[in-house]
Amino acid sequence: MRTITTNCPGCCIACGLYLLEFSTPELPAGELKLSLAHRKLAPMNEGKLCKFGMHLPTFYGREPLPTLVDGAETEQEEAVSEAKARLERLKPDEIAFVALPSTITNEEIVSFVSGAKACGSANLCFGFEQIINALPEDARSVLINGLPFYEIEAASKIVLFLLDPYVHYPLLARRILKARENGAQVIDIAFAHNWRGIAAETVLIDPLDLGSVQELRDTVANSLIIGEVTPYTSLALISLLLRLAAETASQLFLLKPFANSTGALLLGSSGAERRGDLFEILDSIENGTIKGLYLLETDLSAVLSNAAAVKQTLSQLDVLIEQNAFRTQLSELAHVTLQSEPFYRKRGTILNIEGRLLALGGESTNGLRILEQLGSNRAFAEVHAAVKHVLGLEIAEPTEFEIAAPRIEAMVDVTTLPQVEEKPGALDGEQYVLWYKTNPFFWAGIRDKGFVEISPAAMQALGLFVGDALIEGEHEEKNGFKVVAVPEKLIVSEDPLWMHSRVQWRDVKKGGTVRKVLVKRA
Amino acid sequence: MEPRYYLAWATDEAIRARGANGGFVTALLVSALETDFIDLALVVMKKSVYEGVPVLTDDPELVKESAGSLHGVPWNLAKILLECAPDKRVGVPTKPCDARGIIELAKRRQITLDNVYLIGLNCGGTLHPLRMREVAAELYGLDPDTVQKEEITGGKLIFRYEDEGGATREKGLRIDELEQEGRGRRDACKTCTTKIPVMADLACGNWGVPKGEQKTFVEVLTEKGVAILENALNKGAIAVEDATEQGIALRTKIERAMQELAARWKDELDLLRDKSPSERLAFYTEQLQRCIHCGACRAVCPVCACDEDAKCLDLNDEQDAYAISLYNLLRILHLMDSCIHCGQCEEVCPVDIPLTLIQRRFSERMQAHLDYEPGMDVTETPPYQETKLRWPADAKTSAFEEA
Amino acid sequence: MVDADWEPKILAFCCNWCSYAGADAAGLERRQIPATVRVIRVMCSGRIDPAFVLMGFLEGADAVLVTGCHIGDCHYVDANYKTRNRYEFLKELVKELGLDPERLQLRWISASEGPIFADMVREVTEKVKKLGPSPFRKVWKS
Repeated sequence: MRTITTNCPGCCIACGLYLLEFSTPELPAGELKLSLAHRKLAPMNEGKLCKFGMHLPTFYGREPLPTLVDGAETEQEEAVSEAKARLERLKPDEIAFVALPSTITNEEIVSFVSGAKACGSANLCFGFEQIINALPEDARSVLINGLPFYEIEAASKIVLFLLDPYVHYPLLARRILKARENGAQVIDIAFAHNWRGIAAETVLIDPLDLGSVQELRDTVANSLIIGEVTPYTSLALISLLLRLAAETASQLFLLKPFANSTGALLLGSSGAERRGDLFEILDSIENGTIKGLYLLETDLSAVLSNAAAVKQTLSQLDVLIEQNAFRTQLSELAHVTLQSEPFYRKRGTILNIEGRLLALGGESTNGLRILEQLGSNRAFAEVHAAVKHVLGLEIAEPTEFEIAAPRIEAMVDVTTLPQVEEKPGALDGEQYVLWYKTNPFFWAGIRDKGFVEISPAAMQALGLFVGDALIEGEHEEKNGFKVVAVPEKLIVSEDPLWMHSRVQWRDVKKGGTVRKVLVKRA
Repeated sequence: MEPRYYLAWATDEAIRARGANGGFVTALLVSALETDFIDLALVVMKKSVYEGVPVLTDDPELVKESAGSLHGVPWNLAKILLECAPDKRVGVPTKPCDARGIIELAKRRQITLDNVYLIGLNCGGTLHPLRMREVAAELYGLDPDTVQKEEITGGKLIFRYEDEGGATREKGLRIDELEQEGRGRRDACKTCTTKIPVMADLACGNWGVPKGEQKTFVEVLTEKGVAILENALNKGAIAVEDATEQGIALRTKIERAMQELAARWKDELDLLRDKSPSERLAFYTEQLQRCIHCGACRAVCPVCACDEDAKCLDLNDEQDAYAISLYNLLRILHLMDSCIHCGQCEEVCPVDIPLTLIQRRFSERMQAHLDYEPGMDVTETPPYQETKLRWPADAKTSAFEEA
Repeated sequence: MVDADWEPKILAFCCNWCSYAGADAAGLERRQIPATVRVIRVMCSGRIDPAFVLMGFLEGADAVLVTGCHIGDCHYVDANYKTRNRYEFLKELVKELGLDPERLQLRWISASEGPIFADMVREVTEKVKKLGPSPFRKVWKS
């Protein structure tokens, strides 16, 4: 039995845990079973895990991705050379590099950046560039900054902004509860009351009139505002939050999906060069201006919730290279697939949202080696040193109990923030407002609920009975319903259903809260 | 079998020095492995003062390395044994709660108890590793990472650390003082009255050992205990002498004192002691409504033996807008006779539901009514599963109707 | 929470061989029994998984009645012994939870004891009317 110290790849908290690897009489020789145990010493989560962390053994039990060239099994060396050769046949601006940082280490990020640079490509994307590109430098820092959780517990006033910790970032919830125990004032700004109870005070805002948030300046003044930013959060919302924080002398703390988003933002997305906007990249693939894509440990069909549309877009590519540990829905489209090791087997570091530099408990650097072959062929130690150099850590290895990542103090000049018009909207009879609350493993295609939350009035208006299902506009999937005390016209969904109805990929950036909802009888 | 009391220690000087009390348990397991008396040992390997990881091994060298005691690593080994080696011949050093969990799983036919040698360890309680670090920093004024060793002796938590000049120093504070400040042992440990593992094959510890002697006090409780002890003796791995009457009496005295302290803690930590029924209902509803159904409490519960089609999972549906989910109510119901109050559930709950308190409220009185103590005797059937009546057949009265 | 003129909702589990027949017999005199009871027939009281009783309360039942054959008369020999055992656990759970334990009743009723079934329903209805609606009973405000 082997006990491996590791971190969960789900969200930016990167909860610590142990994975136990052992053989059982039922398994064929050489095959190992995975189980987990709680690592109570891990500072970010005290060993506690959410439902998705608890399912990590299943997550790691998926089908491995074989190394293939045009569908034929190939030796890794040969496959990597072939991948490189095919990319070299394209012009630099015809290639894109995309890596959503859930299961990649800091070393792999640095390597990926070098690889893209060696290719001359500016289309390097770690998932947040579409927002970063539109923000001035100081605002970018605010977006990137993390926060140690003990500071949340010590805060005197906390404002949650459109965040349901229990659903989005479960291990954050107890920190807010601790803060309350310590006497903090906690205000929940949301579209509906949090029925699990997180704040003493809730301020309901109209999802059709986000601009009205400006009126909450007094409510929000001098607080720690906690929200989130994901690859599909609208720029309007982020700009609004930045402005609100700046104008009310409040600190803004944004959580993110993917265990190593902080690593990606500090090591991958920072810097003056233009970065690749995920949705512009996708539109460019669709219209043929981008012909090659290197996908690193990213299942775009799961993240963007519309597998068919993603496959349709990516099938336009001349060169699709997929590097992953496990098979995805895109693997069949890839011209070259390269097998990397599962996250828990990697040797390397990640940065969690608190800024802790966490060393993974694995021994393999195969994924890194593949990436290095695109560029400079450096050994692990050298790349790790590069990571430390960028983070400003020249001396000894920081422990998990120290905050290693620099926090950039910046005063945001609100006049430089993008002005995005948010005109109040209106609903017709059949329309409802959708509020999506994604789970921490949303990016892996894991859908947990299979039902949406609706108000009692909506249930009556739609004439629903137990067993009936709801479908959104053009999306086939049925969802059951649960009646919760939410505003009449609000539906809370786990799945950003609107992604199924976009015209162009860049429409996704605008967000989509107003949808038509239909009923499908049982 | 009449219990027998000995003082024992490892004959190998290295093992004796490394062990917490003369290396008896280590020597016992090492000799058992070397003579193929057992296939595997399940031990906890120290990684730092605050961290130990379970290791299931057939390598005597690893077992030697795991010698010593750790107070900041609150594992329950029952589930690990269940997952990794339910049928093998295994030697496990067990705190009383580890042993009780294993016995409960054996009652449910998940573990072959005949193959498991429960080397019981006296236990005064464990601390949560992060709380231990906090105590080191905040109450001892130390950098937690400079602490090299921790011990609990004479009611004190002692840290041995390296100061700025590089010298080795020691600092100790009374555990009861720490606990007055809300620090110290886990709540489950504070309220636990099972200090000596009489349900195991052997009960080992240092209570009753004359001061300064590098020996372990051993109570031999079962034939299996005799067998593994004799195996070690025959191999010359251990030396044994009879315990004194004084030692036996002292051990009982310490146990009593700890049990009395535990009874006071039970009272103090019972937040619902003076609450009315409607206040209790409000408390349970409010606390349990945070549940995000991660399933961790069930996964770590040493008594829970059901697999993926457990009723608490199967019948529970998050789509139901119940005030308290069936998952939680069924776990409460099914543990009323069998909860051993180990506190693992609360420690892993991501939303900090006070599960130990909740489970205790429901199970403690029920177990008293039933006159049943889970985890003590593998031949007993959990009352919930019984057919025979424990109470009068008259449906109108309940045996424990009370105001 | 609930209207002033609310009606109790009582869930009664009856076993096919004894208490259901008894309830049936009582049903012939229906006008003497308040229409508060909803009967669920099971083949044996031993079939009543305690989860059903809990579900009943969670769904908003003001009282749950568990009925079956007298001890010794069980059609399946001794399954009602288990019912009795489980009832003790449920009773204790309900008490500790903070629900009034009067809301949970167990009674052995044979096929010829219709009046006893009727009495039970009347008794429980009266009790529940005094206790008020179950705290789990929800009324959605639109």
